[in-house]
Amino acid sequence: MSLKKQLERYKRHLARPAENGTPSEPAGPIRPTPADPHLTEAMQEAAERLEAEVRTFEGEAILVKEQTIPLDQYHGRRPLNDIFEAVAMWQHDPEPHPLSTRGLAAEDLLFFDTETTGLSSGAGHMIFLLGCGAIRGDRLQLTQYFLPGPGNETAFYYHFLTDVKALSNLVTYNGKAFDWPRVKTRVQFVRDAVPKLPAFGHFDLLHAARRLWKHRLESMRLSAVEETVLGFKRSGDIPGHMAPFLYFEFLKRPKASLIEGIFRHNADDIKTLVALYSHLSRLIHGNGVPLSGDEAFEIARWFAALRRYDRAIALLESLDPDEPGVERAGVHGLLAECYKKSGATDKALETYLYMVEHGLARGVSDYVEIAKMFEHHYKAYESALSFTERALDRLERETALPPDKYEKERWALEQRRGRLLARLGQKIAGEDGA
Amino acid sequence: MKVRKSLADILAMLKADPNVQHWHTIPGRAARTVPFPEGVDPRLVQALKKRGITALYTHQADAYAAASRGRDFVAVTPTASGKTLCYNLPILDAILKNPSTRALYLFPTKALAQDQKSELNELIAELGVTIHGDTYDGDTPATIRQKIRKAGQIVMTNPDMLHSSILPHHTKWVSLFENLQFVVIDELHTYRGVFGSHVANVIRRLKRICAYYGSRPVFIATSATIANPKEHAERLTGRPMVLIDNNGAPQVTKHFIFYNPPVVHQALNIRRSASLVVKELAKLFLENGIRTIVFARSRLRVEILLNYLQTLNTARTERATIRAYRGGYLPSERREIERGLREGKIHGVVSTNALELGVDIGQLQACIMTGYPGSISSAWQQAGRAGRREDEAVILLVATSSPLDQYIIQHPDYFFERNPEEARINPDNLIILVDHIRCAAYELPFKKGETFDGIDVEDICTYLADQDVLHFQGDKWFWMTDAFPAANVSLRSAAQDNVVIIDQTHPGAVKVIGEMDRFSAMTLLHEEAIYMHQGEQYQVEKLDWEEKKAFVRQVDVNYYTDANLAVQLEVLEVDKEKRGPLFETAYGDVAVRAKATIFKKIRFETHDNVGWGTIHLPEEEIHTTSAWIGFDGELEERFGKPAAEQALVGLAHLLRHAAPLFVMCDPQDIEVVPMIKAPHNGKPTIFLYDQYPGGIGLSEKLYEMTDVLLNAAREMVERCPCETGCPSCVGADGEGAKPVVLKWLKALHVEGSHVS
Repeated sequence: MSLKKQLERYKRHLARPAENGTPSEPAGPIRPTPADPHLTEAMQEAAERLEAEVRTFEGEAILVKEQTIPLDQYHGRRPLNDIFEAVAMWQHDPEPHPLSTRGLAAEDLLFFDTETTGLSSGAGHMIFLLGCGAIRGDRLQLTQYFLPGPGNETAFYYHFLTDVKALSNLVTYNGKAFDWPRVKTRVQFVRDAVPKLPAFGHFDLLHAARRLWKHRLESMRLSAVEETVLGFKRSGDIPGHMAPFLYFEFLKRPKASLIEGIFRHNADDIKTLVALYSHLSRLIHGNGVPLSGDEAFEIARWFAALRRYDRAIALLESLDPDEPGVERAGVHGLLAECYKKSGATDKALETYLYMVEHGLARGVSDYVEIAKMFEHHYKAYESALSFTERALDRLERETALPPDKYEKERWALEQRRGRLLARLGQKIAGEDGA
Repeated sequence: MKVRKSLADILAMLKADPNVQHWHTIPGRAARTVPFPEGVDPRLVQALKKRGITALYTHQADAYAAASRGRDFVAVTPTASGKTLCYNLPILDAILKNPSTRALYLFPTKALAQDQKSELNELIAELGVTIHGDTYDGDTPATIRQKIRKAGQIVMTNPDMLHSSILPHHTKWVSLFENLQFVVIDELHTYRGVFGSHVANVIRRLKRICAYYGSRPVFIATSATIANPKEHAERLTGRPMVLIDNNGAPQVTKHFIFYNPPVVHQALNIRRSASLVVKELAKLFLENGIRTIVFARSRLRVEILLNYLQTLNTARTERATIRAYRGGYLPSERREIERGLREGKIHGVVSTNALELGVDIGQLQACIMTGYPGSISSAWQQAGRAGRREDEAVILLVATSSPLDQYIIQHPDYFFERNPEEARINPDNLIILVDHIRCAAYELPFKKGETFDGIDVEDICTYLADQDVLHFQGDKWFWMTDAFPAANVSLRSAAQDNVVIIDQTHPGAVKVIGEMDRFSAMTLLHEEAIYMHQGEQYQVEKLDWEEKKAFVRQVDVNYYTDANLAVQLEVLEVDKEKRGPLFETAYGDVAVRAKATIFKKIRFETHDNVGWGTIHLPEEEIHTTSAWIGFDGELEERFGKPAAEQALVGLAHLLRHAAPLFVMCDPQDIEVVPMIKAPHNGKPTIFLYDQYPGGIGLSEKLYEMTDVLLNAAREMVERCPCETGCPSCVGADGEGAKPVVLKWLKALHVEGSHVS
């Protein structure tokens, strides 16, 4: 049986889920002729329509679209030129923070976003659009590199890497896990022909967004964040997940109309990166931005995670625990932890005691904290024992606890209890002996 | 107090047991060794001496010589013959001489890789030189993955990981692929059938990526005894192979005992249940402190036996010391059992053939097989579990009533003298091939004129381009969809995706307890099925076929369930045909439609049918290859329709059991279906088809040996001691069919013998 016939017979078995679904009609004569290594006329037309320039390298060609955007343009509720103020704020903040641009100027940042043919980081998915934004004077300089066909990657990375040179201050949204590994993978294929990939440094805004708004937003997609947080609403945007399909169509018939939307989408993403970085910087510094209770709480938590307890405590102490959206137990609990870790043990104990007496204890662990402090810091074994027993009591009421967790917790508490009883025994014996 | 019996006492008891059908003693044998070859790095010689290895077994020396000449080779070594040194020696030697050397070890399971890692690292520790040997699998923490990718000198993984993680991300493994000098394929014999056909394609992809990065590794394979190790290794790797089989390892004395349970119903030839007999024998060994492994053929039997054995111990704390081990358990569970066995905390284990592989589980003295494991090769592998380091070992094969078991147990010569079966794969199965062309195109675009290890792929690439999966530009086919192809290709199961088993006994702690392939799930996870896991019974409450989820709840019932599968066949194309005296045999493509129909509830002890229900699942259809035997109308006329039907059903039952005598396969890999009037020829026909879309070469082999197969069936039925037919020959419903089947077979006048 011929292979072609077999392919036909086993067609149903050969279909795999999650591929393109039903193939579109054969593109016929408009399919670019494989023999022609240069761009077809259609491609040239597309370039003109997109106002992009054709750049070549070693017989390959790519499209590059440049545009400048005035920084006084509003993006949502605020103008893009907030970026200068945002970078300035970090100059006065000597402590480390993942978003800190201390020692940098706004012009040093490279706002970076890519569009790819698929979401996996494997060798078979490509980047077909690289978008870069840089602050130049009172304008945002936006450069978009477009791959008009999979066989042009050498030219694509040659021009991109020749132009950008430094990549040490990228600002991205999930670039750490998504865009950057893909750039590395693709450059690997053409590494002998293009400039070496420079050292890379990163401000990943997804990380920050997740910290601040994960409870508030259902999705952490950039489009959801920009709409809620920045008040920016896109018009006629194509959803990001559609981009690969439009690109695949474009490969079959290079019509500018298929990909215009992707260019616009990518440009909007980059503008959002500028605005979001500004907004986040202002929130963190509490400068001129009204901070909601939950945002303040999450920023405090972030500072606590960075061991900047002074900043965390300052934020929490100024927080009105009765504001809607603020969880009182959470605020007090975090405050108590920060006090404890910064060495303010008295204040920590006071806060924990306040919590258990006002029904704000979050679980067994808050009782255990009190017991620990009484035992180790104050050597007050009777009080420690009393709170250990209250913890045991509380454990019995934790009905949602899975059996193995319960057993583990119970065992630990019994250990503590036994130890405390032994200590008290020694103490009493010592007193009796004295 | 009861006095414990020694192994010698028990052997003496068995000697007097009338049910022992055959006693085969394999005498111990001294080692054949040679001194370390000249070229081996002195540090390595020193390290081995510290570990008590002062010379090499003959096969190890040959392996070293082959590897140093850059020859690809396959070493055939029985259990515990120092096979790992066949590859560790040349590879460590090469790394010591040039630290940038890289080696990739492939093991069929994660557990084996873990095991070999400990062994390798102990040897490396003796060397006093830093050599990075790491496992890379689903359990490897993300934090050390990058280090392994960059600096791992020996990377130990499995074919699944190579397929779905390493090859698709080859750009992250540049230092491995640029310097890859050795690829080790351990337990080569496990790569057979569908799994082997997939793995052969993964190796084609591996070779392609190596070529891209400019390396050409030497392939080293090790295999248990199979009939065609060299041919199989060559088919799997696509390279000419040197065969190394001069085993120089010593061997302990082994008693291999064939045990046939007594007949309890003479006329029907019903024997005592093998499971019950095994239960008693296992109890005898375990109670006397003899560490024992019990093998059972199916998951169900494992669970039933475990259930029996654990109830023996309920009063004591020993319940936990007898455990089950099989596929379908989560890795952490399996790891814990392996550790328990090694450390001696577990005394007995009941296993499916998952433990056939060389996982080091410490010292076991006795091995009991519940029924013949289906192939000579498997039987020897399982037998190798006993006596790894003892002076004497005992292996008991307890026969079930199945025709194959009865044939084996009554023909000990067949078992001890015949070559083991052939391992068959078909890497060019179109469906498997196209799946891997997808994956390969994802890894690197195909260039026009490029072959896939010799296979012309232009038609397939063009087909995939028409399906909008690939895009042709310049002279290359590029992957151009957002899918990740390796995620849709599972190497291990016929079905594309497994059904996940979810335990919802505790609403607060709903958890996944296992998974199963789609085809098995039709008969094992239908609603109301009793599913067994670690000796606990679960009832399937809901089977979500679309989402591939089975929701189960723990129950305590005294029955198990057994489901029927109705099968329809249609011949699509005849590729080969030949005439016999009163029949014709053919080979070609067929469409098989299978539907689970009803299930029965069967009581544990009595095997009574205590209820039934219908199964509402959609029909599954596969296209595959099949051999078939169509009998002439004349024969049907001579016998009359009812008798012809009886003969056909009985013969199909015999052939189902005879087929594994000739091709190495799992019982579910080949299906046998009788049709009294097949639609394509209108004749009584028996089909033997590969239970995998596109076929994997089993039925093709069976087509070539139809005569031999029919003769084996005839011998089975002739030598069965029953009177008119029994489950051991013509099947459970075949009472009275025996003379009919025999007459039918005699009428065929088939020549030839099965002994090869």
